[in-house]
Amino acid sequence: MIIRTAAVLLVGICLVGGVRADDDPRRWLDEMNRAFAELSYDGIFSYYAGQELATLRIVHMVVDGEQRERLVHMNGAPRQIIRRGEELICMVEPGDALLALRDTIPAGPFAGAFVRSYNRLSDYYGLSFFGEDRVADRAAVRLAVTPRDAHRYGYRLWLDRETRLLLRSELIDVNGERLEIFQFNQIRLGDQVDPAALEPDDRDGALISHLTLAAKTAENVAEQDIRWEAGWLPEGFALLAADVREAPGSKRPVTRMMFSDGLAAFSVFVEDQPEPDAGSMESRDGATVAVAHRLAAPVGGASVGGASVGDSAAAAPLVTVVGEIPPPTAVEIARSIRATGGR
Amino acid sequence: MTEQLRHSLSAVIDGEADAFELRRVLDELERDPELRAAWDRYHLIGSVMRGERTVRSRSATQALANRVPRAVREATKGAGQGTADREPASARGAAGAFLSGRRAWVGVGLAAGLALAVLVGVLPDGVDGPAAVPVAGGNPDDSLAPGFAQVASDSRSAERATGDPVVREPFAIERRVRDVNAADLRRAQAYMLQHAQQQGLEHRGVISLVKMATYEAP
Repeated sequence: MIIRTAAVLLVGICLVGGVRADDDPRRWLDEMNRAFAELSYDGIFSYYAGQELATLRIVHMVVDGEQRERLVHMNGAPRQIIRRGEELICMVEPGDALLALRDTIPAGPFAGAFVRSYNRLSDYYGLSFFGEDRVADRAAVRLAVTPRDAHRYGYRLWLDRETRLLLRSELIDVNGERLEIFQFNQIRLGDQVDPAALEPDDRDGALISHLTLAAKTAENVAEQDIRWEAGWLPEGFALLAADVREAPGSKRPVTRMMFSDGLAAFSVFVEDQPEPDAGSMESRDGATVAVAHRLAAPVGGASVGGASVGDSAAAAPLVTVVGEIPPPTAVEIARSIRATGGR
Repeated sequence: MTEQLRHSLSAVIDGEADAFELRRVLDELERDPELRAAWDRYHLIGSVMRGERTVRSRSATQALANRVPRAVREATKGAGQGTADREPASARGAAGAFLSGRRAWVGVGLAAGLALAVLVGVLPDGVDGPAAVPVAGGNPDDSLAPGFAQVASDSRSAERATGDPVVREPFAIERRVRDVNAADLRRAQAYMLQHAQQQGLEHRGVISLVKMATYEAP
């Protein structure tokens, strides 16, 4: 009897709200990523960003080794995004606002990611469990991802206790304010998912405009061939992908670099010859910020950071930083962009 | 929220509040989420009626609303003291210099105007708001592009200089809404969608593609 009681107590000590005391949160994060990519799921979720609350349906399966996914916007403009492996297709109705951006969204291939290791994620974020909850009628384990500096946002994650699938997430700013919330309201898993649900819903023929989006390719530009670099990056961020493509709405080249610390990511777009009247600005959508900044006009073939004014504005490169990072950090990054060798 | 407070809020937004009313409203803004919501609504209505377009989110407005009372307190305190030497370091700069040696009501009037300007994200030409006050110990940076103003590039340096904890402002830049043309907005949105695409292609979960699915034209 004493032994049995001791055993029960031991189990109680080892389990903290369903999580083993020796569980590693990093392992749960890895399993969460795998669950997103490998599991079959069909669910309705809410997504709150800024002032907007949206409801969407996601269907995901792996078919013949290829990830297949269908994302359906349930309210507002009817849209479906179909993923077949590395291909994305956006199906919209005629007159959809996305079509106005048709010419600005490149249909060419996106660069494949450089291989990076983020074993030091815990250097930049504190990872800890903080109890259990219930989301979409499933038991969930809560995981806090707390940034160690002001250059990245924090996350609160609700992971399915059984499958590790992300059931709810909150993106938190430096003041503890929730910038974005994602939450499944109902979900079916595994064998409950009908493969037919992956097929686009065009029964009434309403969705007739197909917007073919970028596909990923391995033919990315080598790091050494990129002509721009960041003079300053928050610690832990590394170049993930880079390519040179056409600027939105024009044939002018734009260099695109994507950086990540393994969790957060931002992209830097540099236009050598932007539209003359392109200006500095800031825009925000939920946690995603876009900061545009005109550099000084090139001097002797190199550019230096700083704003340009007056007559030299026409030749001043335009840097746009976009990502899920705090706006002041985006500004600092934008201002630090320089031509390689322009130190 | 009382009817009286609602009237005071309206007076502040219309620029007709006196110093007492302004102080009361700003104090209440810190405490009363309902009042902050009303403040947001009134400004949104005002912006729409003026034909302005803002892409600033509610969270941004909230963050700005949180910092306005402090900025105004510092500005009006600086005016009351009469000399720049006695002003808090963080209140120096364009607004502080303007206020020093002037009567307090001038400061209140300016502060009220700045409060409105900061909250709607529009600063009139040639006027730097609280967001433009240089951080003590730092160098005023005039290399920023037009329309940008630095609040605190390093909150730690501000904290060291003043001895007061300084919250890193979530928005260190202000955007002149009227200076942003449609082409700039479209470009920024296109880049946001490209960023979302790349994230989606890197299989970073569904959330990045949600940005595309839920995109709305401003």
